[in-house]
Parts: sequence; C-alpha cells; structure tokens
Amino acid sequence: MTPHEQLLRLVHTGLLRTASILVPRTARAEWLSEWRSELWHVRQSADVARRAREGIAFCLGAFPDALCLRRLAQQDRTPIPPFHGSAAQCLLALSAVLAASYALSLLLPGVNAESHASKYQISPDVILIQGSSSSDDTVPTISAEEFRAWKQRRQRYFDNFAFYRIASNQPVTAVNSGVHWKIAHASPNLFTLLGLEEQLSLPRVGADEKTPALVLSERIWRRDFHANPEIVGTAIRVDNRTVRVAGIMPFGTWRLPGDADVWLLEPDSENAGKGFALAHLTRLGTSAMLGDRVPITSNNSDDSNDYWGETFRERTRGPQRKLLVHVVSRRAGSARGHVSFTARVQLLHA
Amino acid sequence: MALEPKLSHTAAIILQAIGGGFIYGFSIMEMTGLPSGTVYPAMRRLERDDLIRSQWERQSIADAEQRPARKYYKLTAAGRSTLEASRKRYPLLDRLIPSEEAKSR
Repeated sequence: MTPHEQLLRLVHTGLLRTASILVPRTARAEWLSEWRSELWHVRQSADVARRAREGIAFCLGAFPDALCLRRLAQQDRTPIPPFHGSAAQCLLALSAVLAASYALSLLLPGVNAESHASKYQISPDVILIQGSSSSDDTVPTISAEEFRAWKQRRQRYFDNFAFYRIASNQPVTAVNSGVHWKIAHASPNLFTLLGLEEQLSLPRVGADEKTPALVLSERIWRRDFHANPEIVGTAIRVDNRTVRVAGIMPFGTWRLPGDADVWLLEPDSENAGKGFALAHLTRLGTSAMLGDRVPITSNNSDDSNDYWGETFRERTRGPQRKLLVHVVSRRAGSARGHVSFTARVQLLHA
Repeated sequence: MALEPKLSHTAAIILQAIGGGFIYGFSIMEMTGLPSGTVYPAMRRLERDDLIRSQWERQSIADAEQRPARKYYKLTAAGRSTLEASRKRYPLLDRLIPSEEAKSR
C-alpha cells in the first residue's frame, strides 16, 4: 500500500469517525460497521485514480445519514399519541376524570369514614330499643326512669344497657371556648357497649374516675380546638362542670339516632327526660333475633308496654352495600313484606 | 383499509431497487446512481416506516469471501404493497430498475 493510499484510508476513517459522533450512542457501533463495510466495496469497485474522489464523496454522505438517524431517534423519544381523537383517548380522559373525582371526594368530610364503614362496625349483638308507638326512630321514646328500671332488674335476653339523651333544644355553653354545643348525655359504658371504645382509642374509665369524660366530634375538634391533638386528656369546663376530653369521634362514625356535637359520659342517675336505649343481647336474646327487628314487651305491675328492638346492621353498612340492599329490596317488590319473628322478647321491669 | 404512504420518487426508486434484488447500500447506489448521502438516509426512513427490514449477513459467509459482512435489506409485506402503489404512481420505475418478477418473465 502506497503512502498515498494510507493517507486516503486515514482520511476515510477520520470522516466516518467524525460523522459517527452525530449518531445516537446506542446505534453508533452498528452504524460504523455498516459504513466501513460499504466503504470496502467502494474501494474494491474503483480503480486507484477514482478511489480518492469516490471514497471521499462516499464518506461525506455519512454526515447526512448520521444526522438523519439522530433526527429519527429524537422523534422516537417524543411519539405522538396514536390514539389522538380516538375512542381510546375518550376512555383515557374519562378514567382521568373519574380518578380525579374519586381523589377529590376523599377530601370531603365524612366521605372517607363512609367508605370505610366496616372499620366502625357496631357490635351485632347490640340493639336499639324504641317505643312501638313511634315509627320514627329518630324520636327519643325511652325515658331515663324506664331505662334505669330495666337496668336494675336481671334480664334474660339482655346483659348490658346504655342510654343517651341529646340536649338538642337547649344548646349548652362550653365556658372556656364560648361556643354552643349539642351535648349527648350518655351512659359511661356507651362506647364500650357499642364496641367502639378501642376503635376510637378511648381510655378505659376507672371506677374511681370522678371527672366525666367528654368525646368530641371531629367537626367540633377542628372548629373549636383547631384540630389540636393535645386537647385529648385535658380538662375543660362545660356547662359549669369540669370534664376531661377522652377522645375524638371521626366524621361518619356516629350512626345512631340523634345528632350530637359532643358526648358527655356521666352516671345514668344524672340523666332525665327521654332518650335512646341500647341493649346488649345475651345468647338467648341473639337466638330470638331472626332478623334485624324484634318486638319487645316490658311487663310491670300495672300494665305492659310494647317496644321494638333493632340491630345496627342497616345503619353501619357502607354506601355500596346500602345501595345493593336498596336495589334488591326494590326488585323483590311486594313479595317483601314485614319481617316476622317466632319469638317475642320480654323485658323485665323492676 | 390502511392508507399506504406516498413515497417520494427517490424513495420509490430505492424501494424498487431493493425489490429488484439490490439488497445492500453500495449496490443500490450503483444501480440508482444516487449518492450515499441520499441513499442511506432514505433507507433509514423506509426502515422506520416498516417498508424494509435489515439483517446482517452471517460472518462465516463474509469470511469465506474475505470481505466484511454486509448489511442486507429486504422488502416487508407493507413495503411490497407500497411499492406496488408507487409503480402506479411512477410508471417508469419498472423501466429504470426491472423488478424480480419482470426479470423472470
């Protein structure tokens, strides 16, 4: 090989190497191999006089090729969506709207608690006792005296009772915050009976605890205490009484009749007026419940009163299950009559 | 029915050359008279559009012939149908580079 030919080879190689810098790194080695191979054929095809001219012209063509590969690689990095204006695009947009709506709905107060209703399930062995004279279960029908009488007597169907009464007409002033609350005056064992004590992280109230416990609704906790977690355990003045904040009731947890801002757990002897009674079923009581509702009779020395006992299954179902039950019951139509029971539960009066 | 891409005259000539059995870059250059700076970028675009497919020759074949391995190109099914459409658009293509079918007639 003559020095001239050697120099030509160096120029060819230099040109190809320089052009290869423009080629994307991943394709560079293969690109260079192809051009070297092709250059070999160019050299073989021409005589010595033409090699110089044709070889250099050929290698100069590597630059537009390298630039072309570079442009194609850049286009691959930013592909135009193939579904532009298509059904797939509509589905994607709808999915995005649905996802955004769901995310937004979770930010609404109570929605999260509704969707996680199973977390706050009331014990299935607990029923709400209501007077049979009222079909509206939001109206308090049980007097504190009646409740105390049932509680004092040993019962066959029930082994525990709780009572609450909501002072809804006369809002009570919380002295240290200067605001009005709707207070549910409740038995100290209310949340224990409902099976919510641990779920609400309420401390167990000792027998020697003389300061009544107060459970704040999340709404009040945020509004009047600025969501301060330190408030739990501190004593505050409510209606000229010192009470201790025992916990916070999350949005949507309270599913019993009556809307309260706070729950004041105080001895039953201090309660008066009409409210709501809850009872925990014994094994015998559970066997008497063949559905979600059972008739109850209370006998005393003068006469007998009729009541209804109702479980909380319907109240504590999540929104999806509620909808399902509603749809099924509508489809059942007139075939779905009232639920009948084989047993009538008896409440023993003191 | 899928729309076939409309090729430029140069791209159609290169496709016709590949369809005519000129299956590596330098042979296409020789057949068409087009410079390397035109042929190779055109082949990159044809390959991107799935009209042609490339494959390296086996090294043993190249070694036996004492030359570097070549990168061969061949038409895909889409390339054949596009070439067919291009022949209607450019009726002289077959005269410039006879296709394999024309040669065998």
